[in-house]
Amino acid sequence: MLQIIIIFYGPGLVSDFVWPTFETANETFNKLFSARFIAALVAFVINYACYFSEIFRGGIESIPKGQYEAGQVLGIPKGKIFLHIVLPQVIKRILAPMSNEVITLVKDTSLARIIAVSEILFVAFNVMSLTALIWPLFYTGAFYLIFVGLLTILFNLLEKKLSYYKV
Amino acid sequence: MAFLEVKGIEKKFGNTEVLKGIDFELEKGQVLTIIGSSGSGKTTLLRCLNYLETADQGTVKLDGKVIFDGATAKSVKQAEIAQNRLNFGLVFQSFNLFPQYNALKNVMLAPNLSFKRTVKERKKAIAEKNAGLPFGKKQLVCFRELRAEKKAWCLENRKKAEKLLERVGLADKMNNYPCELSGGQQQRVAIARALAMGPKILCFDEPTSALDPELTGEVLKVIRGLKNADSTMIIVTHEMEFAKNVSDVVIFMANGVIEEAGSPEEVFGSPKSEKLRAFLANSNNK
Ligand SMILES: Nc1ncnc2c1ncn2[C@@H]1O[C@H](COP(=O)(O)OP(=O)(O)OP(=O)(O)O)[C@@H](O)[C@H]1O
Ligand SMILES: [Mg+2]
Repeated sequence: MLQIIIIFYGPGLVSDFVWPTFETANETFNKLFSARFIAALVAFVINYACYFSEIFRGGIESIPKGQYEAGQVLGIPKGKIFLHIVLPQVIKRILAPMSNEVITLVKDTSLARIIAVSEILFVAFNVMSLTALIWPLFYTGAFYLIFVGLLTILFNLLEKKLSYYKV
Repeated sequence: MAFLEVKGIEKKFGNTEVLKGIDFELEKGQVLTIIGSSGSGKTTLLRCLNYLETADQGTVKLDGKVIFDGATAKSVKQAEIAQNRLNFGLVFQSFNLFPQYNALKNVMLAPNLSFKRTVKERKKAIAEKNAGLPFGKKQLVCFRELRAEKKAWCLENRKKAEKLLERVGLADKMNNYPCELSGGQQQRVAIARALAMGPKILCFDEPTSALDPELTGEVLKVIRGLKNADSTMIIVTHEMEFAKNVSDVVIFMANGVIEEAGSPEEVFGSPKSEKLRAFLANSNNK
């Protein structure tokens, strides 16, 4: 959240930088891809790139040296060792933390409302205050639930598919 | 001139000298066992031979050709090392099978990948052969020939792998994954895998010490079978009985030097050095 605020307001405070907008004739497009949206996007990309790369690093490092050496003594070149021996094992190992992170990402998108990006929760709040109804918020909750539920099912399927061997 | 000549191999890790000048020779079809107490540098020696470590000094000659020279080792190209690697196979103490592939694929993987590297050349050769054909027809013929060649090769590779697995007594476990195999079976797959690239010399680093006593027998039996097929092997082992039976030459290592070497009768029957006598007495008590 702090990152989003800093990335959106920060550049303007220290320089003349203004987040660019792409004005087009399409009203909805302008609204959707506003400067705020771009800033939120950048913040999420930076933040989650860190988390994901950390997961990958951990996964790659968790593969025992013996696997590389077994490939080496068989005369397999380094690139192929990584591609055919290490990577499949890495994918299996990082699937669980990856699914966690992806689900957190879905939930974290609601943080973008802090800089008034019209994401789903922000819109729901608006509608709620305009119409004095609680339902929009409820639907939003249901949407998150279903979305996350689908992702969970998907990742479980993947995990099952890869569970034909143990590392 | 011996088949394998190892001269003056020295290796340091930081300040600790692990190998202090190892010399030995091995004839084709002979089996060399290396015994010695823990930490004497046996594993390091095998790793140097397999280019997993780079020895600081010394030379390795195979069939009269220098395949490793400590003086020039740093400047040798990666491709050349990869080529020389295929002279040796290594079976690890901890198996190191690839868990995501079944037994058969574990054996087939390395030959498969090395074949893929030659596909480009074959493609060129086929294209040259068919250069006279008109445009269109040429491409079609080339494509078909290459595909047929690939198919034939894959089939052959598979057959070869199956034969290897049969040889180590795992004909019924080809489609099992390593996690579904016992330690002894895993190690036998590892032996088949090492044999798949057709090494001239096969090295074993304590192939049975990660196994339960009742499983060591099956692995040792496979190694005996290989000896009968005239494979050249270097075996590091703590199984004294096995070393006595299977080897043509025995080397006793202590503190990074070869303390004693000779036929099994000499080494086990009439040990000369004090260290070897102590070592043998110790291992008999176990
Ligand atoms: N990568 C390394 N870095 C530093 N020291 C090492 C390294 N590998 C081995 N050594 C040291 O080299 C010495 C010899 O090790 P090595 O593994 O060759 O012994 P070994 O004879 O195989 O023993 P064991 O019978 O227990 O397998 C040991 O003292 C070890 O501490
Ligand atoms: Mg060892």
